[in-house]
Amino acid sequence: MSNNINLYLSDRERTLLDACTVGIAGAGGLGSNCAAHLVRAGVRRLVIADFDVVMPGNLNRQFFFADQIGRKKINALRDNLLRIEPELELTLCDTKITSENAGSVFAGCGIVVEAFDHGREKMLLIETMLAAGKTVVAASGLAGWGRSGKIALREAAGGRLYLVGDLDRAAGDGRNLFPASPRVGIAAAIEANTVIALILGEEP
Amino acid sequence: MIILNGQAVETPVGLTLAGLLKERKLPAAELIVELNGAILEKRSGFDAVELRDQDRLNLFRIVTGG
Repeated sequence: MSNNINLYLSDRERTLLDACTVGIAGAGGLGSNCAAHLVRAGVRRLVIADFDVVMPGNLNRQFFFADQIGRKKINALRDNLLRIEPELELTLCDTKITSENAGSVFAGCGIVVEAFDHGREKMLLIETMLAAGKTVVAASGLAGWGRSGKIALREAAGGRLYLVGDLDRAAGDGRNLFPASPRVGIAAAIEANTVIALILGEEP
Repeated sequence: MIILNGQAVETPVGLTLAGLLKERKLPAAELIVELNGAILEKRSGFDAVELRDQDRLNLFRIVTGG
């Protein structure tokens, strides 16, 4: 069954999207929402890596449902994405991404979305993927409420690195901030929007 | 003078990148550092990176949350 997503895409856009495999490192607040945006925008091939299970505390921002608590995030996310678009090629990696395995996990991806929670893991992925020649779309500074206009997109490394966020509002740094759906969702949507623009040759 | 995150900043001759980060109390471990369009690898150490007039330096803080 052909789905409605293609109604919005030209043949050229369909071809460009089909030629691309997007990597998503982490299937939490950023990764699960970014993946849903990418699929709705027409991306069909994704490599998604996460080793975690859906916890009750994830439902404040992550694209999962109460009846999925306790399931592996990659499996729950696969099911949710296939409900949007049944014709996807998903590669699911039930593994913790390290500097040693990131290169092989995302070997087939030209663009990798950094969608981790912890700052140190974000840094590790960004540095490893840039060194591996990938284009990286990452996020930093999205905890708390309000300040929507502070969530900016910055380009670095001659267009090989894009950073979404305010680069400041950290979760759990003593300011009693936590990541919540609206700001995480904005950042995840900008990550996805940036990926699509890069694939289609639009201005990021 | 260098251009730090888009702003002109006066810096003393001979100031290193490590010195600038120390002066501004910025933790190198949390920063992506881009100097004149290239991302610097941390392994090389920032002590040896001397800032020159008109250098364009961008510091991106990577913080927890996602």
